[in-house]
Amino acid sequence: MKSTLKLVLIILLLTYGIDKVVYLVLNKISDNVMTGQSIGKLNQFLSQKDSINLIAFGTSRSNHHIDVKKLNISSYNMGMDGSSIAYAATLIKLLPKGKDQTVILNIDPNKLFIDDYDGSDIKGLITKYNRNRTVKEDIKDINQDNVLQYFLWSLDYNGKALGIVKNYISPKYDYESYYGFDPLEVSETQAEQFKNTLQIESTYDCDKKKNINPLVWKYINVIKVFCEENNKTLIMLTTPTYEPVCKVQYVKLAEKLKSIEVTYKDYSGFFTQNKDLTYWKDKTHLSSKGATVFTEFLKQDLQKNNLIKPNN
Amino acid sequence: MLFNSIDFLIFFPVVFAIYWMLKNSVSKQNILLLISSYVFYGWWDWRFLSLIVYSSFIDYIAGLKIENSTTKKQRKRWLLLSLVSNLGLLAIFKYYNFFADSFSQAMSTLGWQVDDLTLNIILPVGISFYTFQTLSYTIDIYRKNIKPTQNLVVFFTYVSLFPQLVAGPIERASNLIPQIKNKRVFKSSQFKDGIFQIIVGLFRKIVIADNLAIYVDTVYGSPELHNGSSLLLATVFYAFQIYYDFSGYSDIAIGTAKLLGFNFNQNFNFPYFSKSITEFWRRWHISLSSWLKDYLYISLGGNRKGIKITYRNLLITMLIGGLWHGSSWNFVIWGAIHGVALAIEKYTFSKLKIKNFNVLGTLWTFLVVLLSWVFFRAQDLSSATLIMKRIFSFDYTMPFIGNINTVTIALLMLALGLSFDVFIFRRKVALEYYGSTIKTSSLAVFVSIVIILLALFYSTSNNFIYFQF
Repeated sequence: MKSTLKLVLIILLLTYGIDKVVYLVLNKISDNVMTGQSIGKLNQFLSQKDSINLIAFGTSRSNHHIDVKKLNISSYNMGMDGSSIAYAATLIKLLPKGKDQTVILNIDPNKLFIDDYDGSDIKGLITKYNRNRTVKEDIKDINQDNVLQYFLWSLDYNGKALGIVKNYISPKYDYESYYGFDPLEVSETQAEQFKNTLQIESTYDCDKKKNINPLVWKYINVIKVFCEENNKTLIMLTTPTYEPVCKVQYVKLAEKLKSIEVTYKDYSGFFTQNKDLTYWKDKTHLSSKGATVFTEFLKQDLQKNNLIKPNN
Repeated sequence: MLFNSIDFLIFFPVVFAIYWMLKNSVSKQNILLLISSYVFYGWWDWRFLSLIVYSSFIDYIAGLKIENSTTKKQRKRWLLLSLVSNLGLLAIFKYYNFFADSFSQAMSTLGWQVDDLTLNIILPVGISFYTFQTLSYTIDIYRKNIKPTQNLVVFFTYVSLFPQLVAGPIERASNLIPQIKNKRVFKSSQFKDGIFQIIVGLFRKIVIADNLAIYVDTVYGSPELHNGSSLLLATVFYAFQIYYDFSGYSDIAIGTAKLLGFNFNQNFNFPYFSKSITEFWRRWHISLSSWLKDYLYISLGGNRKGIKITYRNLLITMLIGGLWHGSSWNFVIWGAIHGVALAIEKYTFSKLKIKNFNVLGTLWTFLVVLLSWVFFRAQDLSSATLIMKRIFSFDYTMPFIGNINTVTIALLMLALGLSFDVFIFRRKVALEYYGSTIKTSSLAVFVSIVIILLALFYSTSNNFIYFQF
């Protein structure tokens, strides 16, 4: 029994020690990584957020659809694959207090009316869990933390370590000219796949999704209050989709946002009259060509409504 | 309760500590094991505990009655009661909807419209495993291979012992009941074996299998969107996903049992190194394949009644083995592929007077197994057909990659897992007994490093694949 206890004790101590070494090494490495979705983009955003004038947040649809430099020369697109409103809300709260900035947030009604949304996209910020109080509090607030993270700090880098090391050794792109916008160049295979998906009839049960998820609504209010109190112009919008469905949700969302005086622009049907498939990568993502056309229209529309100033 | 959950991480150390505090009383230890096993199972859905209690009770009584019967007819009757009760449970909970649906479809093909006969039935977790386990008990008593136990707690603990309750290994009474009856002694060598196997199992499951699952689920989730090369790649990934998922589960189960002083039988022995399908089935899910051999294949006559009957027996055994996994035609076809391959091997080996195909045998085995996995994994028969068509169109253009980071992690971890397998395989020491061959300090370093790898690379846990069976 004694030797077993010794073994258990050694394992616990060694694990604790190795874990801290690995964590600190990964901290050191990741701080120097400015490229890649794992952490580089987040690091770059954190380093620029205090000086830029316009920031776009939201899902991959924000990331691939909005060429922010065309809206404002001093800007950054913080849209992220797989993220949603919880992730965006925490990042918005990290913006400098008092600085005049424009915040564009892409929201998709179809996703906001889902019953089981639990904010788990906030885990995209997990690398900063033990390093940023706001991030830690927000993750804990919706129980998306892992109790083991108190002991095993390496968990902060779960699924990201390899990408971080790879981007540290061999950066993907020149980050100094990068501003977060990732236009989608569509390969022939992808174009073929998209055509195939159009053959499949999609079914949507709109009746089951009648109310905005309460957590989503909470985040919308958090973002609204933060922006009001900190001199930010908030614009919520929905970028184009190939086949907008459950339009009743769009109407309902627009009404709800209007009731709390949040600016909302619905561009979901922007391309519905034009069935040129080269504007699309898939049913929810515009191609580079589509994004260029859309951003141009977005710029004019926002300028026309005095929501942004002409670029300089 | 899942082995890879926080719940189990709290549950097990508590049970472990109390269990060894009671080391001077086997009966108290057994009561603790029985209660904790029921808690373990009830964590999922306490209502289905009644099925385990029912099954245990029937077989406890049947075992005693078979032993005390004076005539062969009486013995047979009690065995029949056990068979009907256990297989009846399976028939209702696992196969009713399959047969009802197949019946409706057959009738509609003949032009008769039948109302929907299917019912909304939940499949109780582990029912196939504990049913086969309890059946082996009564059959062994009937065959006079073992004596029944008089001790109710011992028998109920045998049926429900939590490390093997929900997904095996299917332990025979001849191995496990004597261990439950007798005093367990804490041995540090057994503890080291257990810890080693648990940590290897966790790595196999939550790092390798769950990372591979991301790609497999994406491609198999919508096969119509993917080309032949993506479907082939996903099938290769699935071959390793299911191996590391289930062997990982078995490792955790066997390792956990070791920490409680029990020795379970080996359930996986590097099946992909097999040089024939026959050998594959001696290395894959050993507790099930040996169960099917002992209680079905041999009962049908095995290879004692001529070559044609042998082929028939092989096919029936594998078809039922397929159905054991799930109630769908996909599993029947999966079993049929293995049955036919076994028959082909039997014929070829007897004609050529050889025991395997050597190096080519490994390739043949892997290809047959790979092909059969398509039916095992596909959501339905039409998906499986589509996947097979695309794979065999040999139109291999650029495969779908998805998230490059995820695929890279999956491939790297798979390479690590395979290297580890080759290392252990060459050592000629079973994984089950490897931990105790390592120095304490080396074992501690190994375990700590794997824990860090788990933290860095684990994927969001899917359920263990075999839970659905």
